[in-house]
Amino acid sequence: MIKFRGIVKSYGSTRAVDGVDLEIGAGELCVLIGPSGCGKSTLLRTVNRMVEPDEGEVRVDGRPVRERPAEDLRRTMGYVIQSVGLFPHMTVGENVAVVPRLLGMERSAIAKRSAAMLDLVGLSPAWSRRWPRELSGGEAQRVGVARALAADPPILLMDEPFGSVDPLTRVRLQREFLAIQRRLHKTVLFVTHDVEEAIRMADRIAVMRSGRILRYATPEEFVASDAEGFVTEFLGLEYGVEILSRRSVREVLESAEGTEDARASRPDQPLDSSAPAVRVDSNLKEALGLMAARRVECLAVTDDRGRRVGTLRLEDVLGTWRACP
Amino acid sequence: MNGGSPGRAEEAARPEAGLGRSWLFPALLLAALFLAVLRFDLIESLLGIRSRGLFVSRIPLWELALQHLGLVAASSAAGVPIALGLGIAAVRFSKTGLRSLLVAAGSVAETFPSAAVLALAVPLAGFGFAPTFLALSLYGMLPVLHNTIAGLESVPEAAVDAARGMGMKPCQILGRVQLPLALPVIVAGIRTSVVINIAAATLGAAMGAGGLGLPIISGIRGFDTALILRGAIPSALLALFADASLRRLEDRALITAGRA
Repeated sequence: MIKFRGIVKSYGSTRAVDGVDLEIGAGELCVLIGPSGCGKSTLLRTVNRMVEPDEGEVRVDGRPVRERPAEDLRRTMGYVIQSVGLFPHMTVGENVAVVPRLLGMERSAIAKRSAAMLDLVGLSPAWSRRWPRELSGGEAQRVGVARALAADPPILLMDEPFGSVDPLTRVRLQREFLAIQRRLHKTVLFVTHDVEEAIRMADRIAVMRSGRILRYATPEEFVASDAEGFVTEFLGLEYGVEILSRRSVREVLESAEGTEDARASRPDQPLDSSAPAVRVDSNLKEALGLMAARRVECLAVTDDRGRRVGTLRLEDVLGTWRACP
Repeated sequence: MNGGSPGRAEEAARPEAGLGRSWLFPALLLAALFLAVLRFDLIESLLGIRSRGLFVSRIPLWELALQHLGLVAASSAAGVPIALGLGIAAVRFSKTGLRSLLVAAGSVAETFPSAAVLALAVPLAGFGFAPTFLALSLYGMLPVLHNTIAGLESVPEAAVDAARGMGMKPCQILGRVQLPLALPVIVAGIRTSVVINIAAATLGAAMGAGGLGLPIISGIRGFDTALILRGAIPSALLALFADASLRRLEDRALITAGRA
């Protein structure tokens, strides 16, 4: 879908992007991560021609972006930035309608579309009459996402979209965006410097430093590598724990049922009734956290109504890696 | 999700709110202006003064006021659009050095007293309406130019970046984002410009351009305070009226720019 070939961009004597080759498949969420100044934002901005590379070529759907008028190109790509950039002189609804209006869509279609987009990001239609200054940071960025999606672009460019909201709101926005992404299957290029965010969001992660991509792989593949050096150092030792957040307790129970050695759900396993309980839709990082906090090796797994559905053991959590492709 | 329904605060933010009452003050000033121009004798008797009448012009006061207004209107109508255009060009092509050139020239020009600008216009354009018009147009351009540049540069960077990223063309960014957001500052510049011009236009009388400066100059020559006030009070009221009504427009622009 998006293909970078030999991208170089210099500002003065510094090479912000120094020869990047990268390919992002359709419907994939690719996270560009790296320390500040590593060139990740510059690389993102070459896709919609906000930055023109000195060398190399960006292709979208096999077609060089340079061949298309910049404005037309940008209207086919949603653009979400950290500072949101809502227009303060337009209502929320008008903000969301900007690109559909630029594309000359019909008035009634625009109204319908903008209401649908607000609904998608969890805001009722009444919000469309409000002004940007009345919104909290999290609400503003929801509108920012709705605005980017309004013309149904196949590609989303997100430059630290959740970087300026508080941690709780950030996690909520990440979850909601993932839910949206599962429905819409956009091709997303997502820039961040937050490792946890990258793990939660990414189908693939590209780690950048000094304008180069050091490694491009799925989050799981990063764990398997025992290479020393910047990538390991940047991701941190806790990466192995963080990545547990990508799997739910339910997945472990279901995969254990299929195997002969179904320890996780073996009913004859005696378990103290006072064992701490974890919800079946929790993730493994949360389960591990609970084990560490209570100093236990097994947890009772309960469903939404609090009924016991299985048992989770420490080795189920730690042993998942081998089961995972 | 905290979707919910928005609070009531929104209603208070409607642009029309409270505008009716705020036009009362300009309307009162306008009434006072009409009174002063048409029945100055009433004001004279109210203040207990009487012009000795030695130098009173044969031209009625309302005609002088119209001359004055014409001078200000013509020079602002000429100067404001040019200044606006220069300001936009300065920001748009800031890399070419046009911006620093204009800002430097504007700052230097602002240090000139308006009387000096008027005096300098005489050798260029002779006596009468032309030199006064020229000088007032030039002098009135400075605040508009200054505020246009400041206003456009005060537009949040993120809004411009978002506008570009969403595929607006440069002229669309200017017309749909930058100008609406810069408007309050630009209107403030126009207000300053018009008020300065109303005051400076009184000096035009010395150049033979007529206007409300005529009785003032005659009054100074003849040590006739009442005659001075005949020109000074209407021009002061005109300046106050222009200031007050342009301030209302400024408030309106602030609201539509989403800043108030």
